[in-house]
Amino acid sequence: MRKQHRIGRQARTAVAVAGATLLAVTAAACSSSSSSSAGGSNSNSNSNSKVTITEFDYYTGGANDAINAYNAQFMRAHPNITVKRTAVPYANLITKILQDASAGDMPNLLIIDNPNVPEVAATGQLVPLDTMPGFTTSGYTTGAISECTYQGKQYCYPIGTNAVGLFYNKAMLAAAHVSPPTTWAQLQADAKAATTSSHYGIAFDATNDEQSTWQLEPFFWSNGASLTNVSTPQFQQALQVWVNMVKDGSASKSVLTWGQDPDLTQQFLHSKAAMIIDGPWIFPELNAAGWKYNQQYGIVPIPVNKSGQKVIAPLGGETADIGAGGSSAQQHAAWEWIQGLQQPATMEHVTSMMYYLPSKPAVVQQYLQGGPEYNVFAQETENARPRTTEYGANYPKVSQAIWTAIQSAITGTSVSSALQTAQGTISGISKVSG
Amino acid sequence: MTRISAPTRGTGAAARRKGPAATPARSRRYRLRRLAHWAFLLPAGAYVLFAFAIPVVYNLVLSFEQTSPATISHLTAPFAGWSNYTTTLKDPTADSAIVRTFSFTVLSLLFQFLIGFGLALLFNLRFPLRRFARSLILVPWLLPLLVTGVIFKFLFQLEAGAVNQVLVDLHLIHQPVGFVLSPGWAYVTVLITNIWIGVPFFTVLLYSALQDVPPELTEAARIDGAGPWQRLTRVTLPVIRPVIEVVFVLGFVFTVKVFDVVIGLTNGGPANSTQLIATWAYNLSFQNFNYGAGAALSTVLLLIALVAAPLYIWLNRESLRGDAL
Repeated sequence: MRKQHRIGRQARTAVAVAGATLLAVTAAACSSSSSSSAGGSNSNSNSNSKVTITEFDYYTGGANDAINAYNAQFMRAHPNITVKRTAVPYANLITKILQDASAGDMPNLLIIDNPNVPEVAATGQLVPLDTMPGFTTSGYTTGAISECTYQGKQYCYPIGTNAVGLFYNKAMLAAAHVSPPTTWAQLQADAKAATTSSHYGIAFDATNDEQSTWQLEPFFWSNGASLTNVSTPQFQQALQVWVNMVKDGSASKSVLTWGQDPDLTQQFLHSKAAMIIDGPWIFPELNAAGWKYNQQYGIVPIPVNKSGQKVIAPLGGETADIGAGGSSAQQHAAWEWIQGLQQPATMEHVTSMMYYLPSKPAVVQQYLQGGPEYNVFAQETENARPRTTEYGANYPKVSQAIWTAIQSAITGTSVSSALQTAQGTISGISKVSG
Repeated sequence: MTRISAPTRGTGAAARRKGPAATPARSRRYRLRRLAHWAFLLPAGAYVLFAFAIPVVYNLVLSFEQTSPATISHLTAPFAGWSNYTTTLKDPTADSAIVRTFSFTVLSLLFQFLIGFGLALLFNLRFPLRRFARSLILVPWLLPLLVTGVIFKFLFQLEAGAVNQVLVDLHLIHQPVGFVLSPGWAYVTVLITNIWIGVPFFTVLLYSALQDVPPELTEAARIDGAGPWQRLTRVTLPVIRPVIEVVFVLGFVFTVKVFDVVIGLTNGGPANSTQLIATWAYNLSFQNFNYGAGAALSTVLLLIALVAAPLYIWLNRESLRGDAL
């Protein structure tokens, strides 16, 4: 009896040690994720002396190079200003910024995705730009200005804009004897015709995140539906197009897990999909693979339900915002940084390195001379609609209801009942003015 | 534990009894010693307060607040009463996440135990390369959970997924299965992955318990004519029962709050069919920025996990009392 119990205790010790190890590992994982430096504590009121400003973004690839180049150029032009850049992964940036906002310790410059502007502005930790010397809204596309508006004030300038279009593999469409689609009927017919045993006709993004809502938006917006009422025939028709293409095998069921980049880009480049819905940010990968516009691939606007309808795409791209809390010298330096980016030559150079479009129509005209592959996106961004117009800071909740409906419909729920469920959620979401 | 602490308690009691009659020097020394006891407790107490009490209390406070981005830079938000709890628990996604978490936990523990115990029995035998194989079994435990999730996502994918390739080549299926692409299969896939991760925990602890089973007991049972099955159920299992109980309690706590695997493998999809309490609470807080609702759901998770704590202490006390005998 006694021996047995001593034995039990040894095993228990093993259990305890194992448990403690797990706890320690978990604790370490938690602490490493939350530790990162916060910016914006340097107080320096004299504008002639040295000023350090902190800048946060999530850029990688071409955009990363572009922002580094601009920072270097800016610091050469302003020897008294030092820009300290911190790049955070996309998924962490907004959480990190909201953490900083709750601590009242915002970075001086923030580069955030445009649908997030209202909720960050709602924290009261952004400086309205209207009051800054030389601020103007003239010369910009309407979408570029309205995506930066929150409760009547301007909080940002866009860094650049973008939208989604339909990329197609020229050889594959030619082999299927079809031309690039302009209507939904053609899109479905083309996708089916271009499907073979070795590749699908089309691929798009139906993942459970913002990307899938953003890809479906041009379909239902162009058809007259809106975010406020998704349980309408116009919305159902749009979602039905996607569901049909998965059901008849023109698109893989894996669209539920394929993100825009690199997943869809890889499907396209490895000739696994004849068409993909994607944006200009994939140009660097196409270039690297030796694919040339009008040779291997072409781009058309997102097809519409009936010919004659205007494509209304969601407006993409990041914005430059100034965090409250820094000294006036830091806020002034941050404004200088944003102003510098508005100069036509700089805007053209930086957006071209990012594979984005400039937010001033005059610069876009200049830009297109060097890059015909941007034509479709330039047309679309002219009429593009910011996603936050109706729901402002609550847009992420609406978007989630929609992407859940997209996934339900693709996995077998009927389109109408999936959208009815979404409408139930959306009806309970209040409109926080954009 | 008890053996070391018992004498200390004895002298303490003796000192207390002698207290009034003792010389001032003695009582001062006694008081100093009491003080020292508390001083030694202080770091641990501060740590517990900082690492456990504050987050739990803050989470509780948050769950009763009307939060929004506008309240984020203030320490407190308007009081919301029970509204976060009522709206969150009325939400069908949250309800199904709670039910799913229960079934997921029960099925995970069941299979983890069966497989883990089987492997433990295997390693209790002597065979070549036993040590090597035993160290290999630890691999699932050593991988970061998020990495495991992503690796299994690749293994189970529809196009060019290894699992589909093997099953098709073995002619077990004709068409590749979209494992993470339909609600039912996605649940099974996450379950399989989680079982794979949890097996080493059961194997290692049950193996060490088996090592401690006195050979003379099984020997005696064998002489008395007990077969292998009887030796297992009548001798081995009763002897290691305390360990099994504790392993189940710990396993319950680890499984009920599973998060990383789901995020890496399915991110809760498709159509929220693999959302568990932890992932949905994360979603509410950090994707919807509805901190109040996320905190309310986290509190529900905490309450469920807390059921295990008294059970654990009770099980431990049983065996500790046995020790003193």
